[in-house]
Amino acid sequence: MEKKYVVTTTQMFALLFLSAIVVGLTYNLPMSKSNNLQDHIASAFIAMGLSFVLIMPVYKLYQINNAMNIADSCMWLFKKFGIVFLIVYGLYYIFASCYILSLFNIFVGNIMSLNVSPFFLTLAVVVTASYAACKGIEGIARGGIIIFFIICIAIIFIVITLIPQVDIMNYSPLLYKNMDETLNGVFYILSLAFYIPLAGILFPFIKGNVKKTVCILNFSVYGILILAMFIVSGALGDYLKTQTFPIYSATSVAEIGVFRRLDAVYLGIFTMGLFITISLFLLAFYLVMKKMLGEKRGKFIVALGDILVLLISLVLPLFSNLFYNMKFILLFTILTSFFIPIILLIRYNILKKKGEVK
Amino acid sequence: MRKIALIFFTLSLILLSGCTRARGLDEKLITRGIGIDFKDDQYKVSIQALSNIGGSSEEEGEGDDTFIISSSDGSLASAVRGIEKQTGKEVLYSHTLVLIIGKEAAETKLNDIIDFFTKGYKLRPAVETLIAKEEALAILEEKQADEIWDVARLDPIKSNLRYFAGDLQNNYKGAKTWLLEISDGSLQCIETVLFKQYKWIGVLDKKDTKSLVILSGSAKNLVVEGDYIIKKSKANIKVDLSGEVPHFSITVNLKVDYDVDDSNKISEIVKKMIEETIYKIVWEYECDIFNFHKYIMNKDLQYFKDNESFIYDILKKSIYDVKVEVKTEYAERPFSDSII
Repeated sequence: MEKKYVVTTTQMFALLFLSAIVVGLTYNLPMSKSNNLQDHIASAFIAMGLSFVLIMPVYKLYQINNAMNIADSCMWLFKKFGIVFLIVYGLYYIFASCYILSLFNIFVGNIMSLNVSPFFLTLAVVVTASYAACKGIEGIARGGIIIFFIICIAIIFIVITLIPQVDIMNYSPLLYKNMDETLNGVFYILSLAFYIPLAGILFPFIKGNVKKTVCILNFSVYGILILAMFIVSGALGDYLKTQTFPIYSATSVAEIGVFRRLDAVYLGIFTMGLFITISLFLLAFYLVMKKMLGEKRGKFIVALGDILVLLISLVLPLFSNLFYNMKFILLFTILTSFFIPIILLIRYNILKKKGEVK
Repeated sequence: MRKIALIFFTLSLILLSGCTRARGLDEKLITRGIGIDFKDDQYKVSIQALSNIGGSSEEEGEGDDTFIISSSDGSLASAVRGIEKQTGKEVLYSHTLVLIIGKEAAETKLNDIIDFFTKGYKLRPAVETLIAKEEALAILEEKQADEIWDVARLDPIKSNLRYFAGDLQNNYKGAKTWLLEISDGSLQCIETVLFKQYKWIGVLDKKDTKSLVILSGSAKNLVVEGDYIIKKSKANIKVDLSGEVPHFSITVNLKVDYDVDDSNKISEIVKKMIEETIYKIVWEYECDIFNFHKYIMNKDLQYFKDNESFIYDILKKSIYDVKVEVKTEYAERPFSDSII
């Protein structure tokens, strides 16, 4: 299979970083079964180390044949049985899109109290994201790099405006209570590592040093998360225990000089990043389904993906006990980012010993 | 094909915009102040809202551009819906400056009230959350929200929702806010109400409130006994756990407007004030609004964990060594802007 380089490492870093940031914006203390954000700082450090372990099998698969994405590897190594894995990945990408989109709907409807129909809001996002996904990774990357820079400036601005709000007395010694909150934090943060299975599909598009990109990506994503938690804990203290979206709450208290009420910046980051993130997951879904159903059914696959994301994201909050359950999301993420790639690697080694593959 | 799609989407935007449920500002009740009272198992929600939207008032600078509307019901949500039915407008909380809770509501329903306004993100964290000595409605009827907000923020004791609701969540730290009173037609914030985990503990009088302001480091032209004016204050608290009991060293730096000879007298007055306030808060009220337990926690976590269940006994046995250092400046303005 001939490799087609389409995006640079910088563009890919920007896309995966953006998707991780958007997921990070939905950081939700009740979902993590915890109410102490400060202990999650330690969780983020642990999760950062574990993320390198999680992404290793995906990277190893890429090294074996850098022209093949994870869907290609499934069919190459398991032939027809690989379809089972493709279905799992297809479901995962749809789930990830719906999860983020449903939280966005909850945020807009309940927190911001905008009287916008969730159906039309979701439809607008899905249609625009689907259009971008149909244009391919190159189109998404070009838009993504611009949004990346805007979001970086917004993040720096928010951090600077939040620093004056930090009160040293809001900090407690780390791990002041037992390890439960920290462990819950690790599981929750790892469950939101949606970018790892996404990377499995997108790696073959990269031109450049993928290993360096992965390292910088992991450090950046968790570095930003740790910084956000540190500043938000210092600014809001015990008030966080009453808040569902802590980062949003922090932006509403950020102020410096005449700049106040920066929660609109949070909404801007969320919306811009959401468009890119949903586009990426839809693209990943299309690539997986095209591998399974063939290139000729492209329009059907696009329509299928769009309808599934539209309907499931509206219905997801009704089954919150299951789909917003941290353990379920963690298992699903680890299955797609670690276990299936490990199975593929084992299969590859077995076939290599038999001489059936090179 | 693309042109058709483009025309279709453009027409949709123009023609279907009325099909959204979005409401304009003229259909919203822009709140400036909210009052919550509770009597006979009923919540009474009073809203001071802007009355003119988009038009200029004929008498500029005069008259009220706000009006008050109230509704009573068994729950806060129902009471708010009652207001929306009366006005035909949706309540817009984002411009609220003050939340005033009546005494009876604060004593019995504080948990529900704070939950309603924080968990639903209705009010911003910067909203001043105050307690009325009698009824919240009486305060709103007498004074504009802007005026209440100005007065409450003049000598801040961190009484906004963020600090107040946050402190209520803490197992050890007490929450505090201003107690509002209308006296001789003027609004007064001279006393402080103390809470511990949503329970009304007590009231600090004017003198203790001044000590609180000094220790918080937010004194600004504060008048103390003897008509001495404290221009600025700064406090530093340290704890030493090496002895049998914790030893707190509280150093207060004051900038005052008066003659150099009186600096020792000012120092004695303020030292006595602060010691009496600490005694009252730690012994009488068992309400650690100065975060003494946190200093112990940060100094020696294991010591704190070992004594966590009887931390207030530890605080009662602790030594509080207050030292006041005074810097005097030439008196330019002998009067005070302070409200207390």
